[in-house]
Amino acid sequence: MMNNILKVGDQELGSRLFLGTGKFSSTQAMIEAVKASGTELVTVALRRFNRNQAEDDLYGPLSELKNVRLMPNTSGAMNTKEAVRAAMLGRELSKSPFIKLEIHPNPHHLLPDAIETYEAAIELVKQGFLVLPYIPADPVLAKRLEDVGCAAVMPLGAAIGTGKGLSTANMIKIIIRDANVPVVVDAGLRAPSEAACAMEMGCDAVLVNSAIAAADNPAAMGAAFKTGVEAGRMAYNAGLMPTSEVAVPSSPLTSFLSTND
Amino acid sequence: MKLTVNGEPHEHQGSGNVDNLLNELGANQAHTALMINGSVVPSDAWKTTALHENDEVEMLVFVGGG
Amino acid sequence: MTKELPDWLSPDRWLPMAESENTDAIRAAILSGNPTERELALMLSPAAAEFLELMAQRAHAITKRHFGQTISLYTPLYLSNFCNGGCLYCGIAGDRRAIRSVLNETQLQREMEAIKAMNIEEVVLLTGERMPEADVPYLRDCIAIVAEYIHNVNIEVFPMSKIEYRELAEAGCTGVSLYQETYDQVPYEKMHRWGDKRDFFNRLDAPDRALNGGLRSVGIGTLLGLADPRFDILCTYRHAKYLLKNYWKAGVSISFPRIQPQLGGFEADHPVDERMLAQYIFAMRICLPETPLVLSTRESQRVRDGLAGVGISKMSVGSKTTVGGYGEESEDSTEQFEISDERNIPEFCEMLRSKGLDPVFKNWDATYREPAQYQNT
Repeated sequence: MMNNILKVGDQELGSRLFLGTGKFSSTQAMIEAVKASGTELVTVALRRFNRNQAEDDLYGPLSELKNVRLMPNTSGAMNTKEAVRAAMLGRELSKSPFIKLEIHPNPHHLLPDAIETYEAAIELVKQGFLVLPYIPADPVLAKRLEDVGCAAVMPLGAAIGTGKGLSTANMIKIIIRDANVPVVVDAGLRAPSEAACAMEMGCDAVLVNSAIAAADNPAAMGAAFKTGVEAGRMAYNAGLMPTSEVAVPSSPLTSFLSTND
Repeated sequence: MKLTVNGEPHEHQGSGNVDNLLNELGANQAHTALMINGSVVPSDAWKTTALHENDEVEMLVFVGGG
Repeated sequence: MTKELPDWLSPDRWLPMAESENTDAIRAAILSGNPTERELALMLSPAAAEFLELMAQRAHAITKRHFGQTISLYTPLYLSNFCNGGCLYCGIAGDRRAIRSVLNETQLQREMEAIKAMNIEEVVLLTGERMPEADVPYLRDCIAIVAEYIHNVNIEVFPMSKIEYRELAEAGCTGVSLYQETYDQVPYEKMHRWGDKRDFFNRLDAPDRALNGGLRSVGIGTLLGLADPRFDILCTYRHAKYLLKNYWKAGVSISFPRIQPQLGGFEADHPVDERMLAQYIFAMRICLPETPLVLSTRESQRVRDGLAGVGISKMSVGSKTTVGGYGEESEDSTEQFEISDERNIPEFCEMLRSKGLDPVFKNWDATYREPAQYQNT
């Protein structure tokens, strides 16, 4: 009954850890981290071809990895139109239906634009993508995106790259409670314990990039996140002991009830 | 033929189809996605797609991203 | 004739816990910060009765946190007691000797004048089963009249199709109460001897059809006493969760009617005494902090006063269970059930205020709302 395969739309994934491939010191370090993490879904970005920086082209190294599917993102897009265009281009190369929809017009904090994201999601679903939007941890937006056919929702734990963990935990809990599609915490996680915590809360997966890329030993950190995600999922499946509220005694509230009716 | 490639002016010397342009620029065809004047051109159409004077060509590859 | 309950509804996994005698587990469930089916089942167990006061304290604190010091009020309005239904427990079933009547337009307007004069802003319109005297076109006309007086027009009638619900939504209907009576199909069949109501699953799916048809809220519940109440309460909880998840804009409320002596002298197979009733209400409140929990005037003054704000957040008031009960020249007609709390509205409000609770009549979000919003269509 506790099936650990994650279904996103019609796609099945054996790992609940998604990895970003940005910010690594080298392609080699990135590949090692991807391998160690056990991930089956990695995000990639599109950039203009530059013959002098051919080594940045990740297509070759990533396509050699077995069991890893590519999820292009739409980063760089400032609005719906650009995001749709980026998605179409990404699909040309990824040969996969996954698209990480991200529209964050402000380069300082990279927080998502809910309105443009919503509009773009409608269009991309129409175009047959499995749309995984990166969104503010807003329960109403999450339901609206589910309603228009997104395959999952990816609320942020904290702003990208801040490593502030699950700052939005209370909102994410509501999103999980209400969602009929997978919920993936994207952005903000710094430590494997936070990934475990997200999974214990009932998140279906987490997406991690900076925490692994910026670690002293990215491969080892990739393995640590793998373990964290698995532990969190196992704990969720095992059923956590409920937390306890402290009872506040006050004047009796049941003395009105008859004892022999 | 005058083109704009990735935002830069480019004087194309070849046959004028997309395939030829990619080779001219040293791009790995299997790793590249292409857009001409805002429209995505799928790779199976490259051999048969002709370029025109002043076309705006975007050539994109996958790089690291989160 | 019984069919398995769908996965989203079946309480089978948790039923054994509703027999638990593990008092440590029960206490932990009551104090849980994230209760689920498991905690609910533990709180429903007979052994949990010993913790009734603790449950009341928790339920009170949670009710106060989510609803403040207020109680929403509504009043039922009986349109018709014509019925050919075969409900064994009902005072107006088809085989009961009953004086039958149905309100006409003038009488309905007179009732509404009386209700409006009492400041009530939410009514529930009631009929029996689908009858020529009170069918969908009749209901639609009644709703249109009532909607001229107040904004929250709910119905507690027979299940209908999505298209019919939509028709009523367009006439101004905002919500529907549709109690499954029991989620246990064996007593369900026994209790509903003939007619449309024998179709258990048609009734079960009616809240979905109502919400898909454009109504904004649904009330669910069971008639406590017909079957094992722990089974029914667990199903009610799961049904509410299902509706909340699939119709995220819908209001979902839960009522707790229980069998009381009435015409026909019906005796419950699974009697629920008032301590059990209180236990179930507290348990539901602890597990559903934000859901309106409703108590009608079927219950006594003492029980209603005690539960107001302690789990219960919404109550009926000024209830007449006869057709034409509010207008002055009301005819004699037979009651569906006997009301126990006979206080009028000012008396009831005075009681609430004396407990520090503010009676809430108004619901003025309706003033800027468009006529009917459709979900999932």
